[in-house]
Amino acid sequence: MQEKKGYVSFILHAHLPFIHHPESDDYLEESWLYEAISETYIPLLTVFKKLVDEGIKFRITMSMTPPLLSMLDNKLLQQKYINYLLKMIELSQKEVKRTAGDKRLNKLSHYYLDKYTSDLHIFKDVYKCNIIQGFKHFQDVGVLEIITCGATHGYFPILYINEKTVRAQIAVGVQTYEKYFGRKPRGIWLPECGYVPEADKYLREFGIQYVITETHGILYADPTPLYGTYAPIVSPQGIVAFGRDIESSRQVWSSINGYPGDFNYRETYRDIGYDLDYDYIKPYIAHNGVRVHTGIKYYRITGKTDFKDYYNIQWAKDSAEKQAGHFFDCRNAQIENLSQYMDVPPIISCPYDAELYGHWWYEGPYWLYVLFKKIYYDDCNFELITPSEYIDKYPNIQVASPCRSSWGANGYSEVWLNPSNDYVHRHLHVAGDRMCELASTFPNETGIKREALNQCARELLLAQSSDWLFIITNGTMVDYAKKRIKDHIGRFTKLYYQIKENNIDPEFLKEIKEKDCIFPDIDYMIYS
Amino acid sequence: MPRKTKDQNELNEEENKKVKSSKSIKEEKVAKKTTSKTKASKSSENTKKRASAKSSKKATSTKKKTLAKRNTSTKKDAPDKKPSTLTEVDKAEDIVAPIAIQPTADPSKFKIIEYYDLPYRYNQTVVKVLAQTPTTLFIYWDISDKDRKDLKEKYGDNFFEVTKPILIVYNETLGYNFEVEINDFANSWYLHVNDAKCKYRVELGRRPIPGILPADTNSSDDSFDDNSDNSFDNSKSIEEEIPNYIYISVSNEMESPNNHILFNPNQNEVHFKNIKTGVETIKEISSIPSLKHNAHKIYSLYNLYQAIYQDENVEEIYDLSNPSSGGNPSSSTSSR
Repeated sequence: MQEKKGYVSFILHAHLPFIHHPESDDYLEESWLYEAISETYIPLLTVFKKLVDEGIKFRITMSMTPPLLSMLDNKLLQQKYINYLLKMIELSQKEVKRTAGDKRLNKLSHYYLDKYTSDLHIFKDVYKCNIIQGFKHFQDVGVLEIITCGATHGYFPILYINEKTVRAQIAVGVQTYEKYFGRKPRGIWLPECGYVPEADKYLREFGIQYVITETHGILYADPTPLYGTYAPIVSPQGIVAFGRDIESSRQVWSSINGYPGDFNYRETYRDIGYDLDYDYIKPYIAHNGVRVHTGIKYYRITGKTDFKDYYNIQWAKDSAEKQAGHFFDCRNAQIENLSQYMDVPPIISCPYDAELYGHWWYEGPYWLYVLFKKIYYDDCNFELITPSEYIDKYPNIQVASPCRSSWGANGYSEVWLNPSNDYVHRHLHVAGDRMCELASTFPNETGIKREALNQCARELLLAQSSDWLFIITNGTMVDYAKKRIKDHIGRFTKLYYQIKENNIDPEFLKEIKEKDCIFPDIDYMIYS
Repeated sequence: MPRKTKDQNELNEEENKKVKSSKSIKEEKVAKKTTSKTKASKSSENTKKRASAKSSKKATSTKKKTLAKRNTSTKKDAPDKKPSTLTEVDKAEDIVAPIAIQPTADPSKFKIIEYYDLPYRYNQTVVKVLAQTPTTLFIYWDISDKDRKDLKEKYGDNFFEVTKPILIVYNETLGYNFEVEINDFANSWYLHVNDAKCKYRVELGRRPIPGILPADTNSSDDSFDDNSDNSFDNSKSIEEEIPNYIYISVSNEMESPNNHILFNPNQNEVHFKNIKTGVETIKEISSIPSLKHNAHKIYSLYNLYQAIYQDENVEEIYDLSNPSSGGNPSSSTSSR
């Protein structure tokens, strides 16, 4: 048996923007949640359960953002997800009949029928419609560490112009975490890994011990960290920062050699929503008749041409096992090499979007399952660890200021600040200033005024979500993102004047409270 | 590069007029009526009967498959069993779904039709600076109506026609500044700076336009006449009336990010902190000869990775088509 010389830490960031439309079933964007539950969250829970059941010792960290938690806990969205599954089951049943003449396709259609039926069972019967309980369970049994995030994924390097708005993002993030997990979070996933040193004092104030940064958040730190990203650093304000490992990151993410591009893996972009006869598929696509992805995909990536062969589940599993072996061997070699140069055991931090596992890389959860089993059973020089466990074991950490950075394109703020979306920032800044003004002018109000002030805080937080800026930059669903910014700034501003003029419209307040029902326990005095 | 700011079509109204959401406003796309509710209700009634008939069978199967074995043992030699499918799904035949689609959205609960547009301006004098990259600053600004009026009262009605806006960029870390001429059609600007990891502050001001002179005090703001020949005879020279520089406002201080590894050959010590006890210790690099040497070996690994991936654009790691950022671009509209 090899001596354990280092650690690998997986950190999966689970996040979706708050999308909740009690006024309509027509919003396609709500399906992001349903797809993520079926393709990522339930598969991850299933993997965790299997590993625990099989007695595999493993450690993994996940951030679960407040908007995601709020949606998973929302009764309306839970019912909508059930409706989504029922439609998928109905479609799968039709597919089983339609493909009866083609053995390979028919096997796949049975697979989807089984999958969606199983999802319904797991969601409804096992977790009683609230899968947060599943994640909490695995945290409570000690295999999963859950960390928090900014309240609505507001991007700190842009918001920090008014530091109170960053403080509120952190405060509400921590409060939401405590509500769902019954303890304080030790770590935070900075939204978009956006690090600014100005936030450190607020992170400390709310008991946060560590953050995750992009690679250059550590490499470009001041002074230069001795061990690069292979050991955490601690900022002068006392916040520990773990930097993303560049080698393991590329093995998974690389657009050329990355694991998810294996030719045996499921092709995300070939979906029966686009492939099948319009009249047949119409009940399962968008309400307005626009073709969209349904989630039923029969092809594998196959190659770099448009030709696509049928998906073969066993071949995909074989590839995932091979790649898990490759990742395992690489980490073993990496740690062997690094441990020669370090006087603390190296840690390889592997942060990813949780939705990469399953939603984008369909076989990702299975890859994790195989990898974790290999780490447990095979001879290797490393163990899995969470950042908390690492700093508990090795609390003597080099002091250095992490570099202002993000994990967006080119590593700074271009994704959230560019000519397509820069018009938004002045509105976010003014609304932030106005929220602070309201909290200072009307402290500790009661009754309807308090309700209105709390709703102002919700609207501001929702407007600050980095997702809208990202979507505008990315060019998909742009109209929706722009509308959300307008709606939240508009509702905030209208309420701001109503509060100042002591003329609050109770009907208006009631309606927007129902639509934007995130953070029911918020206290606007966080802005004071 | 300058940013165009004002569309001809855009209204320059007071914001509280722009932020409107009343029943009187024309119908917007928000609350689309849907017929799904009625359909769903009918379907619900039909399937409820089926559901009750099968409820006993379901209860049995549910018990069997309950996930949470709370006292899960972690015995080491558990069988290394592979799942039967990728997500170990249960067979559909075993789990019947005797439930119906329930109505969800209820448009009738929402009477107020909302329509919002972002205000064109907030009528405040402000300059803000943000760092887009280590060497690109983004600056936005505005001058309130009151400040505009004050400036006109002080320097003449056509003050804004005979002066031009400028930004003065102060690098407070290295102690230099430079000036950039902007224009009155912009309200934001991207600006290149040479030095990363420096504190910057940006000042908005105005300078007289050489050769253009203030008009009569009677002339109005809107009646600016570009024909300087006519105004020349009736006006005093601008230099006599308006100072060479008029300060308007200054921005927040902002530090641009660092963009390189800060190896310092003169660094003699390394600070450590025990985050449990709070005790700080200083290690002399000279006392640990291998320390500096090893750090270089570690950093050379990053060069090694770049060499390994030399066929790839380094920036691809941040490729937007990757599923980074929680924005989760919907798969329904993405294309490869």
